[in-house]
Amino acid sequence: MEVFKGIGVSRGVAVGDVFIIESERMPVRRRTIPADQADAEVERYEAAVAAAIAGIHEDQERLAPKLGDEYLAIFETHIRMLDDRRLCDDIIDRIRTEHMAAEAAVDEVLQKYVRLLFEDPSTARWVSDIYDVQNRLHRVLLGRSTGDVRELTHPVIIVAETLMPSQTVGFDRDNVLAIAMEEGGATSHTAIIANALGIPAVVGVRGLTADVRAGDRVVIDGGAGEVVVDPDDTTLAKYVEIERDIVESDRRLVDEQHELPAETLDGRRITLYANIEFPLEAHTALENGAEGIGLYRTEYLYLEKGREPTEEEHFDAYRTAAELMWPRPVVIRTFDLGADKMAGAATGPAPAEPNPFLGCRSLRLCFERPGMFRTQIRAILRASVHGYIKILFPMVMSLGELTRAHDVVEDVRRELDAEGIPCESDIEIGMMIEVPAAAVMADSFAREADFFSIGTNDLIQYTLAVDRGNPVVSHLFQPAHPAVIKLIKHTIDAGDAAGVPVSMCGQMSGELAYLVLLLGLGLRQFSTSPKVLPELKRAIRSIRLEDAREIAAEVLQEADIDRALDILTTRQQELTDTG
Amino acid sequence: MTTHSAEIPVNIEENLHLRPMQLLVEAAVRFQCDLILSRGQKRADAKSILDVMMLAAEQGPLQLQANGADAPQAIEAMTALLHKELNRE
Repeated sequence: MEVFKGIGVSRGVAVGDVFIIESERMPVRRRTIPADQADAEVERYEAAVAAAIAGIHEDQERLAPKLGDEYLAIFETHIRMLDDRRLCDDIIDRIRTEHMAAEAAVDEVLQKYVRLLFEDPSTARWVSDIYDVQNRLHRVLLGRSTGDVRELTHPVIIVAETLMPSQTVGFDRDNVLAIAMEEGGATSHTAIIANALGIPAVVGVRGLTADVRAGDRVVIDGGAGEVVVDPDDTTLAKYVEIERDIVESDRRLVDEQHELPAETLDGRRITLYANIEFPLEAHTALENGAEGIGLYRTEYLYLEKGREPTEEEHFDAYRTAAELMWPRPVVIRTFDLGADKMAGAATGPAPAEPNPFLGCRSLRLCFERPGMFRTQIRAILRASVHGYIKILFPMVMSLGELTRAHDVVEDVRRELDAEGIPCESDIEIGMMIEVPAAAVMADSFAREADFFSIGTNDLIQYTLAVDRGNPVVSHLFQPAHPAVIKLIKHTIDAGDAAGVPVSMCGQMSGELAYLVLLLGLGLRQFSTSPKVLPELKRAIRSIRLEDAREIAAEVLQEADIDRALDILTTRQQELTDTG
Repeated sequence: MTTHSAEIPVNIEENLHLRPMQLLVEAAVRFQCDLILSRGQKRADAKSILDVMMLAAEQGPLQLQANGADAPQAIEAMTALLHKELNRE
C-alpha cells in the first residue's frame, strides 16, 4: 500500500482500477526481473513488437480513407523502427544482461536514441516518431491506453500525467469513477470539469504515473487530496465509510438549505448563481438552490465536439439551459477559447504563440474568427426568446472592444429581424472583469455594460503575473493579495455607483475562506459550481454583514499579504467562536 | 571475400528524409551481405533505420560498402535505388 498526496479539487471518494492515459514521455518504473525469467521477458518483448506492428496495420486500415498516402507512409517507417534489428538487439541485450523489465529496457534504449537525435537539428525533427514508437510498445507492455476514453467499457479511475480539457470533457460519468493527475493546480481546467461532472479528482500528484500500472486497485479521495495505491482491507473499509458520510451529509445539507433564502443574519439578501459547462447541469444547479446561471462556459461545447458547433447545436444547448432555468436568468459567456483551452479543429490549427495567455484568446479570438463569433451570437439571440438569457463577453480590456462586440450583437440582431426570426430586442450585455485594465477602468465600463462579472482566476493570474498551472510558482497565486482585493473593491464600488450589478464567478467566489471578505467588500452576487451552493448559503446565513464590513475594512488597510490573511483567519475564527 | 563499395552523391542542400531512408533499409534487409552506409564522420548499418537516420546530421555524399556473398548485387540495386530516391528533383 502506498499513499500519494496531491491537491483535492473535486470532492468524493472512489475505489477502482487504474486506466492510464498516456502522454508523450510518461516515466516508466525501472523494474528488474529475476535472472531466470529473462527468456520469458524477451518473449514478452517480442510479442509486444508484433502486437505494436499489428496495431499500426489496424490504424493504417482504419485511417486510410481519411489520410493521404504521405501520412500513411509514416506508419511504414514506424513499423521499420519497431522492427529495427539494432534496436531489438540492444533491448534484448539489456533484458538478458541487466535483467531489466521489457518496458524499462524499451524506455532506456529509446531515450538513448532521443538524445542522439536531439544532438542535431536535422535529426531532432524525428524525436516525436521515436516517442510514437515507444508509446506503442508501452501501450502493449503496460496496458496503457491511447487516451481515447470512448473505448472505455467499464468504470475505471483515470490516471494521467496531464489531461487536455478536450480529453476531460469526453469523460462519461458512468465509466470514469475518479481522476488523478500529476500536473495541475486547484484552478486547472481539469478541476473545473471534474467538478462539473461530479467526478472526484486529485491533481498535482507527483510521481504517481511512474508507480502505478494499468489495472492496479486505487482509492481516490478528492476531498483530502489522497491517492492510495493497492489499499489494504482496513483502509478500503475506511474510505467506503467516508464516501457514505459525504453522500449523506451532502444530501442533508441540500435538503436543509433548499427552501431557505440566502440571507445574512442581519437580513441582507444575497444572490446565488451557478456556473455550468453543460446545459443539463441546470438540473444540478436547481437542485442545489441556484437562482440562475451566473456563468455558462460555452467553450466546452467546442471542446466536446472537437470542431466548431453548428448554429443549431449552439441553439439547442442554450435553449435547453434557458428553458430549464426559466424564469431565472442564464448568463451565456461567448467562447473563451485559446491559451490553455484549444479546441483543435474548432478553432483551426492552434497558432504557435510564445505566450498564449497574453495572446489571441477569448474575445480577441472572437474578433479573429468573426464567422465563428457571429454563429454563436445568432444562436444566443435565437434562444433568447425561450427564456431569460444575458450575454457575457470575456477578457474585455478596452472600451473599443466592448463597443465592437456590442456592434456584432446589434448587426446579428438586424440580420435576424430581416429574416423574420424572433429574438429578444433588448438583451442584457455584460462583461467579465478579469484583466486588471478592466478593473482599474471599471467606472468607465460601468457606463457601457449592463452587468459585471469578476473572473478571479484570470484577474489574479494577470494582476500577480503568476501562472496558476505552473507548480513552481502556483503558491504565489494568492486570491487575498492586497492588489487583487483592491481591484475587486474598486470594481464593486464602480458597479454600485452606476447601478450595474456585480457578480463574481471565479474559483474565489466559492471558497468559504473568502466569503466574509467578499461580503464585506460589498459583493452581493456569487456564482459558483452548483455543488458548493448549499454550503455557501449556510455560511452566508451565519454571517452578519456589519461584521463582514468591519473585517473587510481592516484587511483593506493591510498592504502585506500574510498579515491580511492573518486578519482574515483570526477575525473569522472569532466570529465562529462567539457566534 | 571482397568488399565492394560505391559512392552516391547526395545533393548537399537537401536533407535526408524518412521515406527514402525507409525504402533503402527495406531494400537492404533483403540482402545477406553486411551493408554499411557512411556519410561524413558517421557510419550506419544500412539495415537499421534508426542508424541510417543519424546520417542526416552529416553532409555530403553517401558511401556504401558491402561485404558478403551477394555484395555486387546489393551495391547495384542499392545504388540504383538511392539515385532514384535521393536525386529526384
